[in-house]
Amino acid sequence: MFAHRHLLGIAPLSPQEITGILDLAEEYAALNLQGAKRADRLTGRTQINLFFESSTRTMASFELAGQRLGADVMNMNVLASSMNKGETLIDTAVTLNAMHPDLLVVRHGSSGAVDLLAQKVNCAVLNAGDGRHEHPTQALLDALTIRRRKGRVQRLTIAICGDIANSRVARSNILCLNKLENRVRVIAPPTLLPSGIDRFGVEIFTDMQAGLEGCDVVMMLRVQNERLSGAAFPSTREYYHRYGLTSEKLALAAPDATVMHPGPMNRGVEIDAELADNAERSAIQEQVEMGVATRMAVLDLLARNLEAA
Amino acid sequence: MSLHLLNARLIDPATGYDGPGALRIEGGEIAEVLRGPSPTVPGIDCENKVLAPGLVDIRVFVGEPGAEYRESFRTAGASAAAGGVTSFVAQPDTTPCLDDPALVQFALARAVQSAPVNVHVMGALTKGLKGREMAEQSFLLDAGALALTDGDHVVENAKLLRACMAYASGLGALISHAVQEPSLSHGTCATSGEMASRLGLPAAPAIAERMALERDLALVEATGCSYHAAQISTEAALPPLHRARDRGLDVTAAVSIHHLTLNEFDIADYRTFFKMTPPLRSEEDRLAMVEAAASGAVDIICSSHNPAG
Repeated sequence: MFAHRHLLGIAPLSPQEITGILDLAEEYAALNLQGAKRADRLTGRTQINLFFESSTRTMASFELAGQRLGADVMNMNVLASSMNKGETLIDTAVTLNAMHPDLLVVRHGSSGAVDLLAQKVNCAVLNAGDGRHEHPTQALLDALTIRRRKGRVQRLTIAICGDIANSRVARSNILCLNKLENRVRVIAPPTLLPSGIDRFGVEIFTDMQAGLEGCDVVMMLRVQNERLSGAAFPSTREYYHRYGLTSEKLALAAPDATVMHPGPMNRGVEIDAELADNAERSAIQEQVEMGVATRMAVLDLLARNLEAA
Repeated sequence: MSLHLLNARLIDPATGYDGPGALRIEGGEIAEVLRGPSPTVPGIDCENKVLAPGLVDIRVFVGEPGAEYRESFRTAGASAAAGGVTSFVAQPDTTPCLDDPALVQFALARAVQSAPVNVHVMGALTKGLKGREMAEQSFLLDAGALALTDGDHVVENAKLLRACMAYASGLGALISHAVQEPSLSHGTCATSGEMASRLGLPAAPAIAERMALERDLALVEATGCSYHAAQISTEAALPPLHRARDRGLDVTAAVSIHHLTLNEFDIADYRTFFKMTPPLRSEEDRLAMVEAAASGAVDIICSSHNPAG
């Protein structure tokens, strides 16, 4: 049901494989609510979390997921600034490979770096985000969250709003939600839309009000305001005025529309603080919860293929 | 001592002949060109392969001096000879760069010692290829530089470039210049579009080339200098070239073999060995370049050989 050695992106997955991951993640979500949260699927396995880009939540989520499955988990933070890129990346991979890990979870600031690393090691590689390319577990946990909230993740109208151009979360989500037969909209100023977006199978809106109309789900993206203010939009306050999600704008979406955000949030930049905390509308906490369950499912599936290999 | 090269496809640009033929060589010189069916005499059977004058490659980056581990005159010369290239022009992008007459002489002397083909060099257009001060044009030419160029670097400052061109026009010197608008292309490795966006690669729009070329041609018109666009790769660069020629400006342009044979899809799966400057273009642009090379709209095909990594 899951015929891949690595999870490098959503692109190579079939809709059936995605649904299979979500089903297994659902089981782990139930397990995570129990007092004894341990499953022994990965007992004896070694999982290394290799992060070349700083991350708190994703690394914690992967660490917990591995531990709950019984794996020995090691975290490695390698800041890109101390690296000489290219060669050192491969050197690091080869060195770690010699320690015989079973699962390697990798985040890197350059698109394609995780693909490159996967070619150099014998273990299963899990992409925890590479540059602006893909962040597959985020898209999977988002799909699971939507399925739990809406009862399905199919034939829904879903808006992704914010920095589409620089976001790997947006790319993975567009791929994943399209594969599951949803109607995907992107909402952003033209400066934050990647070139060729018209060929991604999405509806494009530069007017947020128009884009939100009738949406079942509104996914907000983090805006790197310190880098983009003045370059991609005039100011943080103008961005918030045009593209920040407020209760008033949300009223244009479907009456029960769900609000999502991959975190960490910039309150008052892309989303109104009160709205973010509104448990009825916002699924942001549930996304974090589903993150651990989804990562458990993916680690489990990749480990099963290790056995088969 | 006579040698016959038989059953060849003879290509002779001087007479425009392209057809079957043979050559008789006496004492290292061509004694007779035999068109049509080859005579039955002892000799080397060319099996209908192309027999032509040695190719000239006007844009080659060699790492000597300073980066011989990448490419030296010896290795570049051997590669050139193996490909039928009997003369090439090395670019001044070395360490130190060829911005001093003594360095031009040194490079030429090294090349004579170690390369089995004819090697020429271009001298730096600006000191240190930094685009801040004019290099010693007439001294560089006297030392043996064929033309002046900043190689892969673009002179951003229009005032300086105008001065370089005006001064060169007084010397009758040729200026070769890379055409990429730096503020758009800096830090990028692909051409903007669906492909680069899906891969999450930093990309520059194809118009970066046309913008730089239009600026250069306006300065050529103002100064009357002889100008060579070191490499063009997009359809949008062709109309400005035609206009410049229609006005009688002394302008030529080259296209690299890569931009005639490869397109942006070749970088898929992060095949970094297809990373080029300028980046590979769309299939439409590739076809336009093939057409331009065939029609003569582009004057020269070069290798733009650059093992810089």
